[in-house]
Amino acid sequence: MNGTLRIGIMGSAGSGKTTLALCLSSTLGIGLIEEGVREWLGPQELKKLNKLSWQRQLELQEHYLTAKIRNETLHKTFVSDRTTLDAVIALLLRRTHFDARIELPKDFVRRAIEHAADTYDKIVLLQWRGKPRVIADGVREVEIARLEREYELCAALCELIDLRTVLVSAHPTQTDIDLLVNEILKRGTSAWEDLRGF
Amino acid sequence: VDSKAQTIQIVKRFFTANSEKLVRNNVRAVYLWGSIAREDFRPAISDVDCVAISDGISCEGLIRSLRDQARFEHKELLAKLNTRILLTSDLNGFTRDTELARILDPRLLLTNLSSWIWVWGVCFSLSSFNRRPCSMKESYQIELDALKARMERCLSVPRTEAPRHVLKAAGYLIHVIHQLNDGEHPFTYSELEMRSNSVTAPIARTVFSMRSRDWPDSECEREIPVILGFLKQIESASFDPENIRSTRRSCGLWNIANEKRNIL
Repeated sequence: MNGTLRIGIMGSAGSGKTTLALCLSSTLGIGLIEEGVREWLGPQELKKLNKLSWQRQLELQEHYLTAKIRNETLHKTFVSDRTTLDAVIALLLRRTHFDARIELPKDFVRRAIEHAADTYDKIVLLQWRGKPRVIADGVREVEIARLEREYELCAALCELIDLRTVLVSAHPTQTDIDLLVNEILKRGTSAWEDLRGF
Repeated sequence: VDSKAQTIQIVKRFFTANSEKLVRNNVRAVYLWGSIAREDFRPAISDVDCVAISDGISCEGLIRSLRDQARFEHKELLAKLNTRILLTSDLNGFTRDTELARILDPRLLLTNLSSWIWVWGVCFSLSSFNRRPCSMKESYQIELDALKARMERCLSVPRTEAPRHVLKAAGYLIHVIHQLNDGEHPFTYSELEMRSNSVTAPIARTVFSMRSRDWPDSECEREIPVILGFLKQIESASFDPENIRSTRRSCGLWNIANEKRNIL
């Protein structure tokens, strides 16, 4: 493929980002860039993610952001499970456990936002219909207010940076996915033309 | 028409069309590696080497049947399609459950991952795995040890591997030595011959000549003990690959090894 098609998937924990990313990657025949945080954490850290020190949170998100930027820069067509903006959102959410007034490192936020603005051709934002419903798996966040806050932060950042965002309902049905694929294939760049032939 | 690009495109379309089966069998990604991922791919002559990265060994049957189906459906371009599987746990260093992970050290595979061509599924990167890749010197030692073991196994009965694969690995070891000498550069057979020195020339010449005759199995097998002899000499001369440049200036390991043979 000569053109680019770079899709980022955003939404709160448990909204079906990974499943949707896998579906889009398979249907469109483009690469899947995984979320990639769980591989770096031991099972102990993974279970108490919110209880880690602020310094450790910063280290983890820095690691996440660097790897995400590096991986996404290597590919012209991909669907990415979470985006660089999620690193900022994770810190905004977790700082409330320490001190809500803690400032986020400016350079970190700048890199995350600049990469998102320059990279994603489309952001797919998973939106809750009604109250969030998440299966408690011992790892995912299940506090409803927090999930709603995460979604609000995603939506606000997309709007603020003026990213091309498509809203899809959380836990999308096959019909939702088909509509989304049609929406993606409708556009007229060379990558979309290539994908249409696929 | 660029048949290499066409081959890659067809492989991508073939696996995308079979996405559902792959997902159901825990396959995470499919990549092309070997000559098609390099510059020296020869249409209709070179093998098309494919590796499926999976979470479980249960996909082995599926991958084999997909290989047969692809060979049948695309006789012109994929008649020489080979498939292997590799587990994510192999790449993370927890297991060595697949044939590929037993033949090649997974750390070497991880080091080379960035040069493979993505075909389907996850775009893996080094940060996707817990292990760190090898340094060049570590690669040399791992390649050397693995190659000796493979050659010895290849000479035993029953044979575990096709001799041509082992000879190709000898070519790759020479490439690693050249990289230590000249800095990083891509692996191609013409580079292999061009950069060969007194230490690497005998092996490079053999590998190059076998390649030009499309790796005849019986001749490859005959060459293995000769190359194994060279490798053992390299080892017994306490060869330090970082010093190749200096050994080249001062008559080289090749002569040291020859002297030893003469004394014997």
